[in-house]
Amino acid sequence: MNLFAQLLGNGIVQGAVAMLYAAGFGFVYRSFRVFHIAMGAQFVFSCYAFYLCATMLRLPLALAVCGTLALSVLFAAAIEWAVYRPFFHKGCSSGVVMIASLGVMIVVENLIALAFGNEVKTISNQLEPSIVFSGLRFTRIQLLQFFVGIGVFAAVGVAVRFGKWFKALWAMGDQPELLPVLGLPLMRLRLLVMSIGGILVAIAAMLISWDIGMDPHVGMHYLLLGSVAVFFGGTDRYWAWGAGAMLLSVLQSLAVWKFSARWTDLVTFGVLIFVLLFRPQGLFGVSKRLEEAK
Amino acid sequence: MNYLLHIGVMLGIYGMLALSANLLIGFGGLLTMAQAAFYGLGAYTYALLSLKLGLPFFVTLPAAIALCALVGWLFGHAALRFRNEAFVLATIGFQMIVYVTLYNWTDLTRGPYGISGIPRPLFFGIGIESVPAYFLFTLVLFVLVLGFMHLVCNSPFALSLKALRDDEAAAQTLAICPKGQYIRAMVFSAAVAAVPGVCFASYITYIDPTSFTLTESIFIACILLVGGSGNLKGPMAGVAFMVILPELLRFVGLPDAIAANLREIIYGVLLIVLIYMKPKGLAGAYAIK
Amino acid sequence: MQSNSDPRIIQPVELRVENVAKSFGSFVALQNVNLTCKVGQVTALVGPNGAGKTTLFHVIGGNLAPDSGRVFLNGMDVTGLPPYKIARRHVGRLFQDVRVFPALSVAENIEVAFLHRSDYSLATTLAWWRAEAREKDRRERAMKWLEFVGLADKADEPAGELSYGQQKLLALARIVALRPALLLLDEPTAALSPAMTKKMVDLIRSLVAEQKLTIALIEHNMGVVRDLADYIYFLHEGTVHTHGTQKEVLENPAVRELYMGLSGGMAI
Repeated sequence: MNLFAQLLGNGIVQGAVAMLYAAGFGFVYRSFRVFHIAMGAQFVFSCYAFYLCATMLRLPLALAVCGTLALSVLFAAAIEWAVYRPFFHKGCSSGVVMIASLGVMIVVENLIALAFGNEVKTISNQLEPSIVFSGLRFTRIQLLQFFVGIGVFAAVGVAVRFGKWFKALWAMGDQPELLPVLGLPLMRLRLLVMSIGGILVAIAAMLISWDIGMDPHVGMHYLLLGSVAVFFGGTDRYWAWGAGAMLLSVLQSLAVWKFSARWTDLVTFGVLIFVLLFRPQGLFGVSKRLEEAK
Repeated sequence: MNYLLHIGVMLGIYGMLALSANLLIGFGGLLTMAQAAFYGLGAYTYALLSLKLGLPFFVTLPAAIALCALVGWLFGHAALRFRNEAFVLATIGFQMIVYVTLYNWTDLTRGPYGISGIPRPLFFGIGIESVPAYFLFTLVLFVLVLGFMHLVCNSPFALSLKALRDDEAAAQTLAICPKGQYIRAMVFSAAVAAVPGVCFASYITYIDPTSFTLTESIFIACILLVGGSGNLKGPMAGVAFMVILPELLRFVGLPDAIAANLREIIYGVLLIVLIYMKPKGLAGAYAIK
Repeated sequence: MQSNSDPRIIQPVELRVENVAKSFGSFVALQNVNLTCKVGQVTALVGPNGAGKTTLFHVIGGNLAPDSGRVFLNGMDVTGLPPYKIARRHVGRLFQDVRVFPALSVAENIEVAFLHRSDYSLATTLAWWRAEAREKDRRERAMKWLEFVGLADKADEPAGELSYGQQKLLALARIVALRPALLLLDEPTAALSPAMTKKMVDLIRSLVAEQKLTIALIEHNMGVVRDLADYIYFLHEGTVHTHGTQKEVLENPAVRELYMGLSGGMAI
């Protein structure tokens, strides 16, 4: 029973971080209608940016975090500027941009491997001693992950709910050509989407890499988890992404309790296929009405 | 000499894989990321049947093909309810499930330790042992697969697939059933992918799950994206380029560690540039939608 | 046209739609629609944009399931069948927007209509010694239909490179090559030049005269309607407002008020 509670707790902590990178994927997917494979690249980039700032340059923590965020936003903007935007102007379909995004992923992953090497890198942290709550043990970094994850996700969620610009992001996914007609700066909004996505992924990347380190090939793993979470929850709602990520993480963690750690991926993708089959709009998604039969 | 023949064998194996994926990606317009799963299923079926039951090659090869066709049929019923990203994601899910199963079902597959001592094919007491003999053997299999695909690609079936790919709603008004045709394509594609699987397992004589990862599936898709798809030339051009390029880089004298990353970077850049400038790939007939 | 007569005799099809209703959320696209398309006649559906004409075609063609109501072909209930099954019951559907297969050649576009379920078997696929003859046969049959619409000289061009009007002709030839008994034509002359319009009208007329097709036609061009229609349904806000012969509908003051009156000087 104690193991169950501990695993549940671990799952919730992982879920809190997963919400961030799921949202990072979800924003771009929902607004650009692009399967944002480069989110994996963004994740790896942010991990190594943090490593660069915190370990190699030995910056103080606050400065390292700010530096990582700044570099991550620049990176996100660079992807938009160099890849996504030209394809958008050319009027390419989402499948084509997805392949370009895959190209970005491959290039960045290997550039980082060339620059930093293929081996695992860790960032030393002084948050080792763990804290015990009524029999459950959490490391300090887990607590940090939980509170930062939930806090940032909620803050962005409030902005989505009330911010004027954020509503335009959803409209962008449905009819991008309508935005200029409504007097909204489409290109600036696209940059905004990429920046928010970049920041969310960067925060998740820092929280994770600080805990368990990094290697250049972790991106694909988090991309898959993030995208599965978004489809699991439902692609059309911000809160559904978070709920999907949280539920998925808890399920994965409980799979360890029921089976063993080796089978977590089976749970992830079994759940994905199950949801796709029986609830294609996602667990918390709204079923779309068929405007015009295609 | 053996080095060149080894590359020849690998060209044959990837050639067959590319041809099998071509049916879904180039003719059906469905970007599958699960080809390595069928490749792996074929390889493991061959390895287990010939090691544990001692069955001869002319039984194990059809068995592997049949198993992949069956799994493809089952998986097709689930995955082909989707198009576009959802289809890609479903195939990724399937690929991961197969990989995790191969990796963790240790009683059957020995998991990460892999299966070694897989026998080379034996025909009427003559084993195909040497690399030149194996090269010829692969060549024969490849030519058979190529011939089969040539027939398929010029068949009414391929025409119906191309119609579905271009406009599914319009194809339906011409009495073409999308699900039936796509499932057929999935079955053919899975069945053909078993052949290189068998070929690989019996050539290397050792397999483990790391040969059949998502990365491998992506690599197969990249062969078609770079070379082109929707005809037979495109996949061949893609295989030639993607398999020979790393060998050329090796000749330039780069250390292996750097060469591997550099090769991937070249693939990635090429993918972006080609899909932008030349969406049909080097020699393909179909521009990815 | 003689050359296109098929030895198979297609049984004529009568279309009956009963009490069909369809809503999208709170928007009522169709309600209580009843209509009959008689064998060998051209039945025109007219009405302002948003009247539900195309939605009705989607319901008949199987692209949309109605909320209630039934669709009958020769008295057989086909409501809710998928589009390809409707097509197998000899219903041809021409979409409003041109839907040729852009990457296929013009001839291949027609050949798709000849494909039959039995052609897909593994045995047929592998029968290399017969493949060439079959291909030649398909090609010859396709050429006859291309001659019918006057596109024979473009047979090997990719269909996506034809002009819009030519694509519409190709789409018509393709659907007619399916040998339908009932044709659903959604604005076949929209956005065509006057010359192309005339050609399209002549083709449709020859189909009716020589093949006894049942045709349901959505059309905004009143000249075309007057040329072709034997019977007219006027749809307004998702219901059948008026129906009858050309005279009964087009000269009905209420119809003129609702449909043409608003646009003033529309030729009628």
